This record gives sequence, C-alpha cells and structure tokens, in this order.
Amino acid sequence: MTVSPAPETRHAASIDVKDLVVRYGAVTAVRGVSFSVAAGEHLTLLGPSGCGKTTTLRAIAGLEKPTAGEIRIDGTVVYGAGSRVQVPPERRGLSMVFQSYAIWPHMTVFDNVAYGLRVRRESETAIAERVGWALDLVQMGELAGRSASKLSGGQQQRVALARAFVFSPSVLLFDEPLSNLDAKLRAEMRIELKELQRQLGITSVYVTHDLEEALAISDRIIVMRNGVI
Amino acid sequence: MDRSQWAPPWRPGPRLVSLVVGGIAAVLVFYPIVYLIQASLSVGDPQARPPEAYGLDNYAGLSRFAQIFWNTAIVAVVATVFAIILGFAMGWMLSRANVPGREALEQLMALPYYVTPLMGALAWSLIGSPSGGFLNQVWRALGGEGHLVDITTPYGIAWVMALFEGSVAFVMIGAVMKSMDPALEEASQVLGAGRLRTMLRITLPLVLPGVLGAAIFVFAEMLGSFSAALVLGLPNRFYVVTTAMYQLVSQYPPRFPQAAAMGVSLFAVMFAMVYIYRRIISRGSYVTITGKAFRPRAMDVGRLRWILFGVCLVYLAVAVLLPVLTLLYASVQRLATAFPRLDNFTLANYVTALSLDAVRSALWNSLLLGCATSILGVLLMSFLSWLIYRSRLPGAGVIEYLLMFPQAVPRLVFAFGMLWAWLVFPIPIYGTLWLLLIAYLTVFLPLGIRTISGVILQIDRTLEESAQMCGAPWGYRLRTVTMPLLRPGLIAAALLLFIASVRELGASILLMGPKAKVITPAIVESWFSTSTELTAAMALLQTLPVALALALLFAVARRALRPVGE
Repeated sequence: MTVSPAPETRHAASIDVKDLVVRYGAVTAVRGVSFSVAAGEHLTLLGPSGCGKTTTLRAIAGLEKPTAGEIRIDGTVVYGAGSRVQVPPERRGLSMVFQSYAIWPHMTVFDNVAYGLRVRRESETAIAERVGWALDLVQMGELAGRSASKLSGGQQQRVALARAFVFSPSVLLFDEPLSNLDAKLRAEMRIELKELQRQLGITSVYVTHDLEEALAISDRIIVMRNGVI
Repeated sequence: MDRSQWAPPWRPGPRLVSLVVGGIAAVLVFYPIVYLIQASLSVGDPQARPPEAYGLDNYAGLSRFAQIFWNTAIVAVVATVFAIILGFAMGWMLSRANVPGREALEQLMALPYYVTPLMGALAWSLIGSPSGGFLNQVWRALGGEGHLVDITTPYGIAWVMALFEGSVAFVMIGAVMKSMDPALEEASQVLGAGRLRTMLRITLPLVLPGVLGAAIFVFAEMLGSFSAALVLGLPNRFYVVTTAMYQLVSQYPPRFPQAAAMGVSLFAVMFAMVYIYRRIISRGSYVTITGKAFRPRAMDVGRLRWILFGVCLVYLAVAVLLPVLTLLYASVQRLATAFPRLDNFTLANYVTALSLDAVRSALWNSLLLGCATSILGVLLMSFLSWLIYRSRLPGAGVIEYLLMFPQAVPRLVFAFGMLWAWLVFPIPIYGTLWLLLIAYLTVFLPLGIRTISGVILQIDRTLEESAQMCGAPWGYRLRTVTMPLLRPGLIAAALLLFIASVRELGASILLMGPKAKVITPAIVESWFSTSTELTAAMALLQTLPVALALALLFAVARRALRPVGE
C-alpha cells in the first residue's frame, strides 16, 4: 500500500517551561523545573520512576494543575501562576500518547483514530482520508474496521499513536509509550517512532526511564531526579 | 497565533453546573430533615403548622416510650448477630473453600435481598403464626400441644429480618474475604499451623475490620427497618421505633411532634452508626490495599465441601424458595391451610385482585413510578457520580457526603420530614405521585450513586484524558466516551432503581395520597383489612415485574463484569 504524503500540517510549536512546581498536598512532585523545546525539536525527559517527569508532561498537557511557574506554548501562556491562566487541555492544541494507550474499547480502530477529527467537525470524506493516511503510516490500514477491544498490545500502541497525530497537533507528548511492550517489539517501534517524527516534523516531548530509548529517539535529553533537572 | 482560540481560563460552565446540582441535592436532602427537627420541637397545638411554640418537651416525653426503644434494640441486636453469622459463614464458604458450584451460588446469594423483608414477613406469618401458621397446624395434627413456633415474638421478627439482611452481610463480608491474598494463609500453613489455627490466628484478624464494618452497617439498617416489625408485630401491639412512629402519625388525632422526636432520636443513633462505619472502612483493613494481582484460590476442605454446599442450599431454600412458594400456595386457595384439598384451590384471588380498581391503579402507579425513577435517577445519579469522582472540582467530597446522607436516615423518618416539608410547599404536589417520585429519587441517591460510581471507578481515567487530548470539550467527552463505557453499569443501576422503587414501603406508606396509591403499601393495607389469600395474590402480582427486572439485571451484570479495556 502506498503512503500518501502528509496533508498540510499545522506548524510545529515551541514550548517554554519556567520554574514549574507541582505539589499534591504535602508531596512536591516537581520542584522548580525550567526548560525550552524549540519548534520541531524532539526532547526527552529521562529519569527513574517517581522523579516527576510524567507529572511535568501532564502539566504541559494541562491534565495536572501546577502550583507555581509558567508554561508557554508557541509564546502563548497556557499556565501562569502570576496571571492565573489555566487553559484546559482540549484547547492547548497538543496531543498525547498515554502509557496505558487508553484506546476506547467500545469503538473500532477507525473510530478511535477519527475521534480528534470529529471533534474538529471535519467532513466525513476528509476524515476517511486522514484516518486512512494515519493508519497506513502506522501500518494498521487493514485493521481499520476491527473492534479496538480485540487488539494486541503492539497494535493498540500503533492506534494510540495514529490517534494522537492524525489531527496535526502542534506538539506531541509521549508518556512512556513503549514501556508496556516486550523488548523485541519495543526496538521495532523505536525505529518506527523515529521515522514518524521525521515525517511529521512536529515538536515532541518524550518521557522514559530507558536511556537507550532516549538516545535513539531524541535530539536532546534532560535528566530529571527528585523533581529537579 | 489566533487569539480567538484561547478563550479566557476555565469557562465557568462545569463549575456553575456542579454548584447548581450540588445545591439542588442539598435542598432535596436537607429540606425534609429541617422540617423533621422543627416538628420535633413543636410544643403547642400538635396540629399547628408552623409550630406555635418551641421546646424540648417531646424529647423529655420520650421516656414514656422506653419499652419501644428497648424492643428496637433487642430486635436489632439479635437480628444483626444472626445476619452477621450467616453472612460470615456464607462469605467464608463461597470465597475461601472449594464448595461445588460456588460461582453460581454466589450470584444466587443476592436473591434473598430481592425477596425483601415484607414478602418474607407475610410468608413467615403464614408459616409460623401461633394459631393458623402452617407449621403449627401440622404440629397439632401430629398431636402436638399449642404451637411449635411463634414468629410474632421479637425473636421471630429478628429471624425474618436477619434472613434477608444476611444477604447484604454476605456481600460485604465476602468482598473482604476475596480481597485477601491467599498467600497470607498459605504462609501460615507452610509454617506448620493447622487449618483451624490458621483460620483463628490469620484469617479472622485480617478480615475483622471488614466484618465489624458490615456489622455496624447491618445494625443501622435493622434499627431503621420497618416492614417485618409492622406485619408481625402490629397485631400483638409489639412496637419498634419505626412502627410506633407510623402508629403515632396514622392514628386519630395524629401526634406528629412525638413521632418527629422519635424519628430524630432514631436518626441520631443511625447517623452515629453510619459515621463509625465510614471511619472503619476509610481507615481500611490491611488486607485490601495490597494492590498486587493475585488469583483468589480456594482451600480444599475435602468431604466437608458437600456439607457446606448443603448449608448454602438450605439458606436459599429458607430465605427464597419457602417464602415464595408459601405465598404462591396461599394465593391459590380459598382459605389458606396447610393441608391441600382439591376443592379448596381457586384462581379467584387473582381475578379479584386484578378486577379491583384500587389494586389495578396501585400496580399501574408503581410501575409508572418505577420507570420514572429509574430513568430520571440514572440521568441524575450518573451525572452526580461523574461530578464527584471524575470532574476534580473543589468540593466534590462535600457533595459526596451530602448525597450519601439519606443512607443514615430511615426511609420512614425521611418520609415524615417530607410530609411536613411538602405540605407547606407552594406547588400542590402533596398526595400526588410527584411527591413519591421526589422521595424515591432522594432516598435512593446512595444506592444509585454507589452502583454507578463502582462502574466509573473501574474505567481507567486515561480513557477520558485521551479524549481531552484529542481536543474534545467536556460535554462531547461525556457523550462519546464516558457514557458509552458506562452503559452496562447504567442499565444495571436503572434496573436496581426500578426494583427498589416498585417495592418501596417505608416512604410510600406515609407519603402516598388516597387518590394516588402504590402497590406495596396497598399490600400491607390488604393484609390488615382483607383476606390473607388476596394479599398473597397481590404480593405475587407485584413480584412479577420485579422478577423480570431481576432476570434482566443478572444478564446485564454478567456482561458488565467483563473487564473493560482488554
């Protein structure tokens, strides 16, 4: 099957995180983290579990409300402790692949991937075209009609990926997307991910505790420990 | 970047909605309680509304009812002890021992709960009343003197209540036992402890907090229970608090303030019980919080398993089969007697029941209310559950506490508060089905929310978060992801609400108007004023739609139990 060229994509965005603090009650998960990601750059947050990297990612996504600091996406403040700004995740224009994949079991593969486009009220023909393109890119084209509850781990992973980039987000966030796969599949997916990133050319932030994975995928690596860089 | 895309932070939408919903819930729950307390403080003319003067005389006067409080305590304690023993034994057998067919048995153990104390009391009265009870008829025919059993004693009432609440105790204790890692027991056995020693030194201490929690919960339920004590105790003038309240309200002239004072004191005790219960479970037993996956394994108990199997069957027979068959048997007789005679059989009771306008309209009203309660209830309660457990709004915990509040109030007491509250309400809904609908929706809030939130918590949060990351606003997410995933659970909740409202007695008996009757209070009325046989027929007519809904529930529940997301 031939892969059609990517439909016109939104430009990649930059991310600026400044003095980010996330506190849950008495526990401080992230203590004053600052970094920037240039447009089109692939950054990895690396660190042992519990070091605050996933929390940082979720704060960028808007799923976690930080305690202090500032987050800008493409120069626009999406969270600012001083300005009391908190843009909800659905209007930050970014996308995310979850560790658990979070594939909706009550939908088909096609419907899962089409979700973000339907939210944006694209026409059904445009949706069919985009979803077909995305599924081909992750080599899942033949399984479009299958129920999502009947997929293997690797297949779910691909669907989650296609769902995340199909609507051309300006930033893609990855929360340990490969940690639930076996070693062989992980090595394979790593190469595919790298290839995908090259083709899509969007900004990405990747969270992992696997150094090898980090080296393979990213332009730059930030190491986190105990909530600091 | 396009500025219009970035709306001001946090649209007020969800927050406003939750504030409004929380407010409505608070009114539903507290409005009647306020009136209950007001009524209990009224010391002027007992009929006057609002009260002419306030004082504590009604509480001081409660000492005259010491006997009734004592009765309530005796019945509740005996019934609780018995129900917990039943629940513990069944729970242990079906979760820790290799009893044959235990999966099917486990499902069936829920049945007694659906038979209800009212059905049980009617049936057991037919079986064990001292003069005409079937068992005593047989006893005398065999040459016995007097009577063998007397179900109308406090112990008889406790027996009937325990049979049906035992099922609740089983569900609660069984869940605790299942959540215990069998390795803990195995370790004890490997170290050389015998089976009995393991049971006493390891199993029992580990499940004790759970059992204690169940005991307190059941005790609170017993304090507020109404129907068994009404059917079996009233003819003997044996009163517990709830039946005494009912008597005070329904006699002429009614003595509302005394009844209210009784209601408030019962409510205070129950509230304390529920508070202790919540403290116990929130602290958590050590067993439940391992979070590690383990396969529940059953101990091999050898030959004993057939005996245990027999015990389970006997319980089901006594609590389910016997009452239903007894009522069926009585309903097809001209004059209910233990000794079948061919010319005594008739279908006339059913014909009469179905031809009486009062019965027909009561049945129809109940079905109508059942449907309305289940549909509106599921809409309301799923929204509330989602608000509490998923929306992360500040104050979600407060809303939860508020909504679970009716659990601590006996339905009869709650209904009493509503009676006062809605009499003065500007819109005339008193005596109509609307009042009952509001009452059902309020008193079943804990039932519905617990059922639905159980399903909500099973669903991984990232399923919703990923919809959010795809750009879906909250209403869209709710419609496309959350609701479809919840569907089996919601259907189960709807069926439960239907069953619960069709059989509701405590609130209905006070709140229904003469022109808008419902079936359960009609059955009780018929029991006291017309024939036993006709009452039995009515009870079975009511059971029919309930049994249908129950069969559906079991079918759905099996599907709902399948893990989501695999």
